[in-house]
Amino acid sequence: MESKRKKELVEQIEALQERLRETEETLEAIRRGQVDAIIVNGPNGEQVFTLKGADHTYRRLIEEMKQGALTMTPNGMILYCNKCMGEMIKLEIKNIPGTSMERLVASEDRTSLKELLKESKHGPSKKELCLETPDGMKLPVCLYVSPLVLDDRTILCAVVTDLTEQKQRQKLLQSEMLTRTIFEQASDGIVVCDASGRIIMANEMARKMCGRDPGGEFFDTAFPLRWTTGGDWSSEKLTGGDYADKPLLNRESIHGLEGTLTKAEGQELSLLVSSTPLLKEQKEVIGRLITLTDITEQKRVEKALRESEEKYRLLVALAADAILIAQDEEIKFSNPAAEKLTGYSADELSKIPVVDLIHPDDREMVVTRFKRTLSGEQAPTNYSFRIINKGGGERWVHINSTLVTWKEKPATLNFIRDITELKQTEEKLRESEKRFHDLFEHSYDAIIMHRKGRIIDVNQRACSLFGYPKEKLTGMAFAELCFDTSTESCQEQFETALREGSKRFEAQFVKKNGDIFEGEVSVRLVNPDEEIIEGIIRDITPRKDAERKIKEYSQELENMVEIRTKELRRALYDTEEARDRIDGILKSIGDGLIVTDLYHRVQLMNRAAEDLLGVRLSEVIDRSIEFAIKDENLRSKLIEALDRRESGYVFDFEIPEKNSRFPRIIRSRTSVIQDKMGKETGMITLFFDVTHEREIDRLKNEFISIAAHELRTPLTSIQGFSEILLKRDDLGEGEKKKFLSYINKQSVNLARIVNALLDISRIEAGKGLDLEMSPCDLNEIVRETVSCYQSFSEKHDFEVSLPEEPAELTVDRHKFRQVLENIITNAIKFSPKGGRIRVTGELKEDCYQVSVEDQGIGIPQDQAEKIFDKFYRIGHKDSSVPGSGLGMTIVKNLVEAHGGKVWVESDIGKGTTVRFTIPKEQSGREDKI
Amino acid sequence: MKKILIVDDQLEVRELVEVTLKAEDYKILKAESGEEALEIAKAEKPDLIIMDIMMPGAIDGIEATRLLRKNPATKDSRIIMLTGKGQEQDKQIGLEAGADDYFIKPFSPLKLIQKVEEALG
Repeated sequence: MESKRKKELVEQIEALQERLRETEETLEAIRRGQVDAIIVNGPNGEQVFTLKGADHTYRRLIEEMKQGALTMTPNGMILYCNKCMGEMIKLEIKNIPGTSMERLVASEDRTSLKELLKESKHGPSKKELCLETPDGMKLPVCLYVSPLVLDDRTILCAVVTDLTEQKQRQKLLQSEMLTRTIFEQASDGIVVCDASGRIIMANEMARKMCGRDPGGEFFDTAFPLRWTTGGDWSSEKLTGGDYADKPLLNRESIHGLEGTLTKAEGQELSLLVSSTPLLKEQKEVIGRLITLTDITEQKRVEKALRESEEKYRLLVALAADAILIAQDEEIKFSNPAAEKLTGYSADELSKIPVVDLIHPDDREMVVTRFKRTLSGEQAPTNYSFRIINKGGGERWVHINSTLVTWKEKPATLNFIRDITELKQTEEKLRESEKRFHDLFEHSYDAIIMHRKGRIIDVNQRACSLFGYPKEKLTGMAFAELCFDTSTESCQEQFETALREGSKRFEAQFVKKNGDIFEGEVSVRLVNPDEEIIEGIIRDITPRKDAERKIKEYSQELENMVEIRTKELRRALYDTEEARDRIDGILKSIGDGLIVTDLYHRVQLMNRAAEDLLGVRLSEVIDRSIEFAIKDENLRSKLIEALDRRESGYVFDFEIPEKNSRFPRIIRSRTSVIQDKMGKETGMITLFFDVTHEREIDRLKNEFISIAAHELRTPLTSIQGFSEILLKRDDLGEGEKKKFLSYINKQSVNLARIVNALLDISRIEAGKGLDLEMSPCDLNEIVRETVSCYQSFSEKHDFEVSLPEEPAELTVDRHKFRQVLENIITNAIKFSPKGGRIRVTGELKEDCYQVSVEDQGIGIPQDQAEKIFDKFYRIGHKDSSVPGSGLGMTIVKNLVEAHGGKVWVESDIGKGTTVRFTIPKEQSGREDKI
Repeated sequence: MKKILIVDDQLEVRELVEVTLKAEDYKILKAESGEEALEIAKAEKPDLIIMDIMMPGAIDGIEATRLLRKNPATKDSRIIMLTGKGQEQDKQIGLEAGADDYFIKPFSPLKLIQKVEEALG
């Protein structure tokens, strides 16, 4: 069955193919004009269609048509097509007939073709659709189909019009419309200029900006812009006007210029200007397109933003608080305050891990909170912790941390304030508060705070003092604590405190157990508005008791002191007496005495030493000996002696004497002081005045020289005259006698001098004088002696005054005469030539007194007694006055040997009177001598 | 004839010197104090002055010698000190005061003559 059907089908296909071949051959023949007529077998029998002849013209027409033409069966099989159609569809014409129209149509339009074919059965129809060439090109066409009924058969005739150009034109039109719309409705101002810079076209916005239609004007005139971006963008530059003759050079586009345009109504527009050349065929510049974008708003926003940014920047920079943005445990941003707080520079901050800034003790807490904040969890954002600054210092900070987004990632924005000082202050305040509280609580005094008389707070002592528990005491009236008699007074005092701020008084208080005690109250107004008064009560009962006891004790003590004082006084008296005795002894020592310690500090100095050195012990006690001695020489000598620390060291020094040309000569001797243990404790220095001894030495030397001189004088005569007598033989007897008498006289004189010297030495040796006593008339001796001088020394005027009655006394005649001679010789020696010498003899009641008065140079009062000293000679310098220096010494000795007295009265420059007495009774004389 | 002034407070010494020099051919002048010696020396301008030192009065031999040497009228006189002051320092003082020679008492008259001749020679 199957194979039979297959066979039938193969036969059918072969038949059809045969027919197709015949048809094709026929068509070829027709096309080539080889067919004149076609016979078609149909239901109505054979019909002959003649092709040649009548329809040939039409055929040519159709063939030559510039439109595609074809015929097809109602189901679309193409029967015929013209040349144009073949060109359109790019197929060989011969291949087209027999093809379904559908195959020539683009697949998407095939449905439309089917509809068209259906419609066209009822009348002419057209549709626009696309043909598709074998190479895939789509060709828009308008397919006009009209039915043609031929011999009851319907053939569809179709004209295919190529719509490509029309489509393009349509597109162009649409595009131009669009461009125009865009041009007109663009939000930017658009201006088109010709090559000379004149505006050809301006869109609505440009017109609006300009305030008119600027067509025909130069750009600069229409838009007088003030440029805010660099340079002078004149019309020429923008429009290319100055390049008009060199169009090719003017191809540059100018973009992004900004300028301000002031509109007629005063409104200012900020414009962004771009200028682009319009090219013809990509070569010749035919004009410029200038766009004007209104950026006024943008500018305003930018400015506002800039200002706002500046504000925030300043805010951040100047913020007293440190501002840090932390992310990934690093600091992404820091302000100057943060640098100040941490001591790190912003650069350093950006490099160190956040944790390094946190105090090790607070690290965990802070880091945990940061992490929680960053992960969006609930975490404290306001808290305090310690940081460690660059220098290692610890600072307390308060942080306010907020979650923010930094570079699209969560971060913390932290405001950090240095609260170290605050902390310290708080700490101090807390300490202070605690201290005050402690003071309040532990005060030895009861402290009671009360408001308007009602107790509001008390300390422990108040409770213990009054015997109430704190709860009870608080709330009581203050008056309840006062003893009846004190209540009113307390009230007054409180009122005073309210007025004056504070008050101090004493009052009596009652304890819970009824005891009454004395209290010293100090009240102070703490809060004037609420009338809070602080009362400090001290129980002064013990103090009062103590005061009484003290009084008793002090009385007792006073009594004891009195007794002791008496004892002390006695002891002191005894000591003083002993001291005074020693002092007296020391003071009485004629020699100077200084006691110094090992450091040469003066410990003691007696009166003699004081006088000697011219200082008082009180001025120099305990001071170095250096201060006690003014004389530099003595000071160094004494210090040297003290430094030796040896006993018996002796040195001499001189001290100028006020009333004498001659210094006092002092000999010092040092001794070491040793205590009971033999330890050296200081030095004793003794001063002896050896002036006198020295003087004697000096006088002795001088005496030798004078004595020699005195002896030489008689010797001169003796030697000289004896030599003359021996050698000269021309001498007369008278002369010889005279010379011999001179020799004799001087020999006697020499003997006298020798005797005087012997007398002196005898006196010195303590031996008595050999007096040859006999009754003599002293008047006579005086007269004789004076008369002898009168003749001998004619240069002086002698006056003698003697009593009338005889003066018979027992004396050594020669010694008496020697006394008188010595005195008169002195008077002559010390009187000027022509001076008067008065010698007076007086018989007194118990004695005979002789006075020798001269008008000589006189003797100073202090030396008057000294003239009797051995070898003393008045005015040593006046060495011209001859004398042994023994005369007056001999006088004194002789007078005293007679039991008499000798003295001197003198006025300097006026004269001297020497008087001596010889007692009438010579009893006991022998004993004296 | 040369003039010689003898200055001494002691009569006997004056006489001794005078006697000693009398045998020679001199004019002898005498003074018994320094003051007197200055007066005479000024008036007489002696060739030689024999001067004692220790004399009463304000001007002793040393002072007189100084004054004589100071005065142009008397400065050229030769001066021989004749004194009992025999210590070396006394001699020094005398020569410093202006004396030409120093002769100590007691003395040999013959030696004095030699001294005088030397002084005048």
